[in-house]
Parts: sequence; structure tokens; C-alpha cells
Amino acid sequence: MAAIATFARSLIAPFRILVVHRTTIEAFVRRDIRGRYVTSVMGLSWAIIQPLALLLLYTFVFSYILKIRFGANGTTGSFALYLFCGMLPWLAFAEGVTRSASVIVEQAPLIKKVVFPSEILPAYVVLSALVMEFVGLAILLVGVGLFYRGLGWTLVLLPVVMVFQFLFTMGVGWMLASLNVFLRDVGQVLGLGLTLWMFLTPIFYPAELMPARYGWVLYLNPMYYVVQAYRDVILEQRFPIAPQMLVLAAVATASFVLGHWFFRRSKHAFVDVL
Amino acid sequence: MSGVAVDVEAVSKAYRIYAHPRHRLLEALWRGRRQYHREFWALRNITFQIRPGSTLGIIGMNGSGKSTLLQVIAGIVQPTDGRVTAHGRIASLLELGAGFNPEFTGRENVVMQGTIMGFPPEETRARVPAIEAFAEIGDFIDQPVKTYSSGMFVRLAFAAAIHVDPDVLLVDEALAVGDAIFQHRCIRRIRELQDQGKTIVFVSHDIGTVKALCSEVLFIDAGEVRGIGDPSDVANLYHAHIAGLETKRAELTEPVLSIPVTPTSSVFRANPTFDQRVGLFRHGTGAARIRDVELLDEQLRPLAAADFNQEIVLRVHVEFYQDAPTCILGYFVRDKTGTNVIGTNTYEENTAIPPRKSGETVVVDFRYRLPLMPGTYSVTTALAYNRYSATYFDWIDNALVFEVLPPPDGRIIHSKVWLPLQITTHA
Repeated sequence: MAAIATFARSLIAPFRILVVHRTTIEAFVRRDIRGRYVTSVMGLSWAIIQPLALLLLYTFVFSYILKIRFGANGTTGSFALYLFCGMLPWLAFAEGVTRSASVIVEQAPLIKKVVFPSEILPAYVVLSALVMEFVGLAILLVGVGLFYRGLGWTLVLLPVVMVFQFLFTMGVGWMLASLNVFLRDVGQVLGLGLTLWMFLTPIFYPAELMPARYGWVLYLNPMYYVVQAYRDVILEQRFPIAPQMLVLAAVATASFVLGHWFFRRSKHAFVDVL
Repeated sequence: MSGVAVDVEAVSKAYRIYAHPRHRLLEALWRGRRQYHREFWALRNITFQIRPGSTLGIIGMNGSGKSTLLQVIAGIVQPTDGRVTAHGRIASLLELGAGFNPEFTGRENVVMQGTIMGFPPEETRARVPAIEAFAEIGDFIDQPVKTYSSGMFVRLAFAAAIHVDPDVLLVDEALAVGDAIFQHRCIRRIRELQDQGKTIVFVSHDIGTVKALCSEVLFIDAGEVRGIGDPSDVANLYHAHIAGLETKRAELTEPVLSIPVTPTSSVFRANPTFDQRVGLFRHGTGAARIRDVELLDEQLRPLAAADFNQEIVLRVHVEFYQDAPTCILGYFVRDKTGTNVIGTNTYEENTAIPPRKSGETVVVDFRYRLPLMPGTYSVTTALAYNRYSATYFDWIDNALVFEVLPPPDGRIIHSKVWLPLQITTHA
């Protein structure tokens, strides 16, 4: 019985921590987002310019030079929307885990000098990346509404997908945040690993182009499910594939709970190492 | 509240020292079956309790473990052994401006710091006017913190940190910042918190501040408690400890002088550690020698640090090795810069020392007040042959180093010396 209670507690713990400290997390996210632009002349417009510039670059390279065609009608315009739709969750994920990995080390003064729930440090960077994603998402939705099929009712499922995306990112973020305190090499490996991961995720190419014998690589990749689900609900106006969603839900929740468990077990040693 | 605000039970803290970062990984992989670290015990078996509403000072030299102890009490560092139980809300002031972001305004940072410490933003926002007034930074409150002078930064950070409303406040040497007026105001604020019944733990190596503020003092050395209790008693212990260390250092560097000790009166005493300690600072013919210099209170009890304007006795023990028909004993009290602040001699004060024969001794007491600006002072003593020549039996600089503590009523001494005066106003 006690074991079950303990298990249940560690299941609830990560949700609890986010709820209990929501004001602090919110303050951190606000400051983080303002901090990105507070010193720049163009301010918040960078939030729009940056994803647009990336989108133009990728579209130029993959669609115009490499002549990869996919999307509804195989035009460059639809390719751009397709690409952008897959890019958005990936960029939020990549930013969230990359910054999580370094956030504890960066905020060492807080860890060493203030009584402070350190769980919220990775949480705020992951959430901040997610908030930034909304800017890109707004651009995407405008684009889809004007130049594509328009916006369908399946959009109501997008928040569900994004919750799974958050849970998964958060779990990985907590795990890496803690690991990198003890093993600074994690930060080095991470950049390489994420690049590899990005190209194994069908963002720049349709999943169908993946050779059949490597198809299993896709199914092991939670971010593939996320990207697919984004395209389904935003572009194709259809339900995401239910079994995939179930797998994603399970993997995301497991990542969230395990990541937090790992973080909580190791966080007391941070101050001894930093 | 119960009878204990903070209960520290048999707390020990070991740090693992690894020769190389990869050893940490290897050890984790071996899951304890192989050891790659050596241990450093920062704290050993520390037990004490803090009563609610009391102020505990923790003193110790650099590296003695006092900051680690504070981190353990705060809950930032987990003890390796033992347990800390705190009742009520703890706020720690271990580093000023930890978590300040230089790009943001003072106001934003203050609110953020409050949030980090776990206070709701509305609560902190309501305190901003008081913080602003305390820090005296005026319109700069709405400027980015990076435009602040270091003094302004520290004032704001301190103001923000001290205007929280905890049950237990932990302060780590943060008071040693800002100009004298700001420090004075900080001390007032701490007294206010004391009056409100807050429990305060205060770490410093400045014995003066600790003595002035604390109801109890804990002296920690090499991770162990060496004394806890009444501030004066523990302060004396601390001073004795430092003096002991100085003697040890002197032993390492100086050949030991061997002058036979010949007690001839009950008051006279020759202190062998004194000879060792002042070896570097003395000159003179050696036909007579100063064998000890003591700082005593008005009842002739040894004194480690003097209160402002306290009546003290400077007692000088002299032993003669040749006949001396005349001699003059004098002293200077010098400040840190070496300026002679006060001083006189037996000739100027018309107190002749009777002729002394070889082997005899004399003990001279100078009784006076110390109306001096709080700080560290040294005593120079000299025994001259007569008033006409500049030859000395013995001249010792730094014969004694002592401290003058701030006035307990909190008044500021603006000048090096304060003299009693009478003020009359004519309307």
C-alpha cells in the first residue's frame, strides 16, 4: 500500500510543483520573454522576424534548390506551410531542452544562495519557448487561413497535442538540466544530438520518403507523432491517428514523471557541485 | 510558536572532492562499490537551538564553516548527517542581489526577488515604496540595474532583501557594505526586526557588529562549535583563539627569546608568548624589557574588545636587567593608518617611576577612556632612559591590538575621537 501511495505521489508531484509555483513560474516566463528583446531596438518584432527568416531559408533550400515537393498541391507555397507547421513544435522542443540543460548552471547564484524550488528553472525555459511558439503559430494560422484550405474545427485538438508536447519536453528538460550539472559534457553532446534528431524527424521531408526498412526509427520518435499531429489538425483538418496519440500521451506523461523524479532525486546535490 | 525557532541536531556536512570531473561519473557508475573521492568535512556534529525572537551571531575565521552552517540552516545545503528543523518562514540574505538581472529596472528586480523568495508579487509591489526610500536611489528605481553604481546596487539589493517579512532571517556578512550611514540604517532595521520578535541568525567575522547585535554568539572553528553563549564570553574566546594563532605563527618565524622569568611582585607577570609575538616589532637596548601589555576593564578584568568610551586600564609590565636611576614609560594608541590618536608618558603626567635595580620590576597602569571611532587600534609602548635622549630600553609597536565597538545605542561617531562637550542654543 505504502509503495503504491509513494508511486502515486511521484506521479502527481510534477503536476503539483507547476501548480503550486505558478506565480513564480509566470514571473520568470514574463521576465524571460521581455529579457529577449528588452535591449534590442526592434523589440518584440524579432519574435516574428526570426521564424519567418528561417522559414524563407528552408523553403528556398529544400523547395527551390532541392525541389522537394510535398503538401496538398505540391507548390512552393504549400511546402512552406507544411515545413513551417513541422518546424514550430520542433523549435520549441529544441529550445526548451537546450536551455534547460544550461539553466541550472547559469542560475547558480540562485541555487547556492536562495531557498528556491529549482524545478521551476527548467519549467520556465520550456514554457517560455512554448509561449514564443504561439507567435509562430499565429503566423502559420494566418497563412493557412489565407493561402491554404482555411482553418478547420480540428484545431480544437491542437491544445491537446501541445500539452503532450509540453509534458514530453518538460521531462527531457528536467533530466538534462540535472545531468548537465554533474556532467558538463551533456551540453556539448546535446547540440549534435538535436541536429541528428531534427533530421530524423520528418520536418523537411514527408514521412513517406523515409525508406520502409527505417520506418521504425519514426515510430520510436515522440517528436514524429507531435509533428504529424500538428499537420493533421492544422493542415489536413483531420483527427490525428488515435493509436499514435495514445502512444504519445503515454510517452509524454512517462517522460514528465520520470524527468521530474530524476531531477528531484538529484537536486539536493546541485549546490555541492556548482 | 514553540520554544525553539531553529533546531540544529548533530549536523555534519562532508563535501566530496574529486580530482577530476570524470571520477564523479565513474563513481556513480560503480554505484558506491568504488570510491574516487576524498571527503572534506565542512561541519562536524553541530548541535544548538535558537529560541524564537533571539538573535544568534555566528563568528569564525574564513573557511571555518560558518557560511556552510548558514546554508544548511537555510535549507540550501543538505547536511550529510543530522537534521535541521525550522519553525516558521525562513528568509535568507546570503548574497545581495542574487537573481538580479542587470537589464531590468530596479523595481522589476525587486518584485522578481520577492517572487523568487516565495512572496506574492502584490505583496512585494506594496513594499516597493518602503524599499525605495530605504535604498535612497530616487528615480533610479525605474532605470535598468546595470546603470547603477555598485553602491546603489548593494543598497537596493539589501533594502529589498531586508523588507521581507520572515519569521527567521538569515544574514551572511551582507552588512559589511555601503557607507557608514547606510550600515547604520541597516543595523536600525535589524533592531526593528528584533523588536518585532523575529529570529535572526547573523554570520560575520566582525566581532564588533556581532557583539552589538546579538543576544547569543556561536564560535565555530574548523567545522566545530568552540563556544556558544553570552556574546562577550564567546568574543573573548574568539580573540584568545586568534591570539593563539598569532603566537603559533610567531613561533614559526621567530627565534624564541629566553629571558629568565623572575617574579618579584604579585602584580607583575612575564608573558612568554608576548615576547614571541612582538619579536618583530621591538627595538631598544634591552637593559630593561616590557614583558607584557594588558588591556583591562575598569575592574581590572581582561578585555578583548572595548565598548565605545569605556574606561579601560592599559597595564604595562616591565623588568629591569640593569640599574635604572630614571626611566619614562609611554604609550600610543594608533589607528589602522598608523596615526597616533592618543598617548602620553609618565614624565608628562608627572608620575615618576622610582629608581629600579637590576632584577626588579615595575607595573604601570594607565587608566583612561576610549572615546574613539569604532574600529581596530594598536598600542605602542616604549620605555625611555630619560627625557633628553632618544634612546630606549625597549620600544614595541603593535604590543596589543584591540577593537573599539560601536556605541550600543546606535549613535554614529563621525570623527576619530569624540570629546565630551556641552551644547547651548540661544534662540
